[in-house]
Amino acid sequence: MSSVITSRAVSADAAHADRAATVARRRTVGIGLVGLLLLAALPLLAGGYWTYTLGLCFANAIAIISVSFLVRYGGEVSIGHGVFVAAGAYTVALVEKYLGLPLLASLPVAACVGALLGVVFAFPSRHLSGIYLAVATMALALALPEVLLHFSSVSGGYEGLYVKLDALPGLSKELQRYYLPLAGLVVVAMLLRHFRRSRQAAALMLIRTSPHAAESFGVRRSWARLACMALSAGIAAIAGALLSFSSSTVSPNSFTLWTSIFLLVGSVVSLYSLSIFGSLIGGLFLTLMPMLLAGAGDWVPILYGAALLGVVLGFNALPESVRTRLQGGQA
Amino acid sequence: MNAIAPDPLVVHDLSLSFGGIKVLQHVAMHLKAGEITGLIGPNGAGKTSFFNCLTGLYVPQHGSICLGAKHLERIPPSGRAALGFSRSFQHVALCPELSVIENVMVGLHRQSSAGWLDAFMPLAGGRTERAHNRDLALAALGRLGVAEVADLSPAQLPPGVLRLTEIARAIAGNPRVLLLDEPAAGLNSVETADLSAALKRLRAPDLVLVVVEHDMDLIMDVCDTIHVLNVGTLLASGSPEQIRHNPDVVRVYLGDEDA
Repeated sequence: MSSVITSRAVSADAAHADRAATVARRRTVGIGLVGLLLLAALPLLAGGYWTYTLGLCFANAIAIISVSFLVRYGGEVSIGHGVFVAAGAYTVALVEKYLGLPLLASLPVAACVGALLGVVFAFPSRHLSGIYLAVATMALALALPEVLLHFSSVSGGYEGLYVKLDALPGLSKELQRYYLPLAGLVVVAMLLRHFRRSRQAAALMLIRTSPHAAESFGVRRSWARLACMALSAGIAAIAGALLSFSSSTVSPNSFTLWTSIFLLVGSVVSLYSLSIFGSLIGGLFLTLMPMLLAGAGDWVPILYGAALLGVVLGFNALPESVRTRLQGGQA
Repeated sequence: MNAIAPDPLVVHDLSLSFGGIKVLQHVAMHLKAGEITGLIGPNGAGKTSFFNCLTGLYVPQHGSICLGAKHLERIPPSGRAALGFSRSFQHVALCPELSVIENVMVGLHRQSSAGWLDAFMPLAGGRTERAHNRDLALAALGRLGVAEVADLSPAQLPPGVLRLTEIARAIAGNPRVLLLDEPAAGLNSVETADLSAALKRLRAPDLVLVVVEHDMDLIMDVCDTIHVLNVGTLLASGSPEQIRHNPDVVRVYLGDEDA
């Protein structure tokens, strides 16, 4: 049993690394819990402006996770995820407008609508990949504002629709707009953390890296593409639903091609993270950077680009172990 | 005992070409269950392409493949996996982001039933199945003597152990047809001897086991029947002894020294 000897030598080498990883994981969980408690207590300390901005930031972080999910599990890049975010946002607004139901009732509907839209898009494009799929998603994003304006009697046209109903009666609107997206982000991240250990996740990862091997073990490529796109679009729609609630309005201007591009930027900035902390970095970049640069006039695009470059290069310069923990969703 | 006779894998008149290049020409083989069959030949003989035809990754232009009475021509790779086909690859095809045991558990994908709810939520059914699959995967790794590396990442392991992990993935689901493509590549001589013993233990009355390999000592040691491919055609078939003394095989592949 000499191969056992070989493997024992390997496992002995790795045992130290394993213990170190366990300690590091515990530390990460500890820091994460403290961070979450701080976020939960923040509205008591900060003013309305910050709670409003952070509420948007949490929703954006979920949208960023949806893009990162497609990258991590599907190996594909989307430049059109704003469409799925819009699907969630408009579902909430329309359910309120026509059925008079609040966010907690319309949120599951929004997730289903997003997932369905993902499947409807993924099926005809299931044989596309790489840059071709990215351009196909971009076409979606380009078409969306026109489609919304075409059906202006339903979508509210340029003005859009309002989301006014309380989701949690008894709590001030300001706090609802903060805590619901935060809760959404925590729930989505936890669900994805559990998903990472599932057989479906393993199958998706294997088909991404070794399609022939995965097919030989009964994983179908079309299933993988449809599943990946449906889940990603569903998460994006949840983000859209919470975004519409936090901003209390939805309009075509909120979902242009730039929305989709910024989501991709946020995903890159977060290192395609599926964790709360990593996605929040992307969300903060997306939400706060334009505000911080607001006074820079013509310099805004240049400074934004420089900030983007700085964050991406800075994160990639971090040690491998830190980056792995930031990315989350690991075993 | 099992009253159903084990099904052989019968390949009849199989031809495969890419454009004008004829990869396989009129290949016919009867691969018996309960035996270990060796498939040898020089590089470019069409051995891996033959495996790809068997698993459905390549669609041959001509010929038939039957598992017992079932014709496989129109069945896609995933369907053949459901019928019990399993394989390892010439180039290790493990996912670097999954741990060793997670990679092996993919071999149980086709016979798992945990749904999407189980995937996202810690429900009892999903947890039980996952624990059961983990036990099966650990047992498969144990049969190859590498259970200790179960929770490591493939990036931490040498090529020989990765090769054994791939074989463990292939056997985890108790396949009916097991195709091993150069399982000894990257293994040192001691590991190859262990592999040889492990392959002999894999022999089962209802398993069609086919091994493509360049290590002649291993092939001659474990195989009951050997088929020799040369530039896409079947050059010879027979017992290890017959193949060892076949003048055509000696001339084309084994060489005088090995004979």
